[in-house]
Amino acid sequence: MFKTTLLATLGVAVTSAQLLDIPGLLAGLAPAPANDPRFSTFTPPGHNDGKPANIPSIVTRGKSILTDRVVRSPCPGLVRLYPMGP
Amino acid sequence: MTVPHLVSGLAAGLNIGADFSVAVGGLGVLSSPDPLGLAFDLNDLDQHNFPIEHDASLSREDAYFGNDYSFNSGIWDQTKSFFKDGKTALLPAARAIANRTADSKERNPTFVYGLQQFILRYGEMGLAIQTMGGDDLTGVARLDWVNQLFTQERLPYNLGWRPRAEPVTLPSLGQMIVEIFAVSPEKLSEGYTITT
Repeated sequence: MFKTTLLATLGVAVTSAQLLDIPGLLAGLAPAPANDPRFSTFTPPGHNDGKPANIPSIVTRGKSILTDRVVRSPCPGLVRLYPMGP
Repeated sequence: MTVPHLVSGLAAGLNIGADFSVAVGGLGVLSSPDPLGLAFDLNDLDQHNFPIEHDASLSREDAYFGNDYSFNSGIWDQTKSFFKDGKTALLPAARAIANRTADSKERNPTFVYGLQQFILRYGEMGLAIQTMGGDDLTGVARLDWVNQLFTQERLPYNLGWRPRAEPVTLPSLGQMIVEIFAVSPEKLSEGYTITT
């Protein structure tokens, strides 16, 4: 299972890399300036926070995903994946 | 979100390197109902043991108990209790992980722990420490910063935190995984568990 996941991840990563403008993307990578307003504008987790607001409920792998939960992710490590705002 | 969103957002907010963002973005895309769309959202990630969610989280209850996505103050208090003097460090981080392992093993009859979960759990601890300004060699970071990140899901900018100067990368996280595991009181039994 782990090997399958790893291989699939590598496949998706390679595919993504091929579709991306890697040089352009990497050239702009840096922390935002300290006065970036996104650092000081905080919105607590709220309903529908884990998905785009205009998309109805999703069924993933046979499991219905609730759309009104107050959640940003199932695991705190993933909270940091959420690029909507700091 | 797409992988480019992730790469630019994690760099801007936390100075996370593109190598980590692309790798974890690949995992995220796998969780999407439409992986070929190369996008995913956080609800997509809520699938037990695939590809990122796992038991014995530092701040969430196991999926077996129903809610594996909401912050759980009791679980987080367990984790936080290992850190003293307002700072994180490698040894208490290892003890906190070992405590969560023991707790889930005792209460959750469906507890799953293999190499995938090992990498994710130690990596998440390393990610929390490093993104909150922790030193790569000692794992020392301000606990109030880490605490706010978990309890409020909020970057502790208001407490003086700023993105660290050096990017958080797969090598830096890999180094911290090794460092935390090396001082773990459960490294022998844990090593046996994840390799057999």
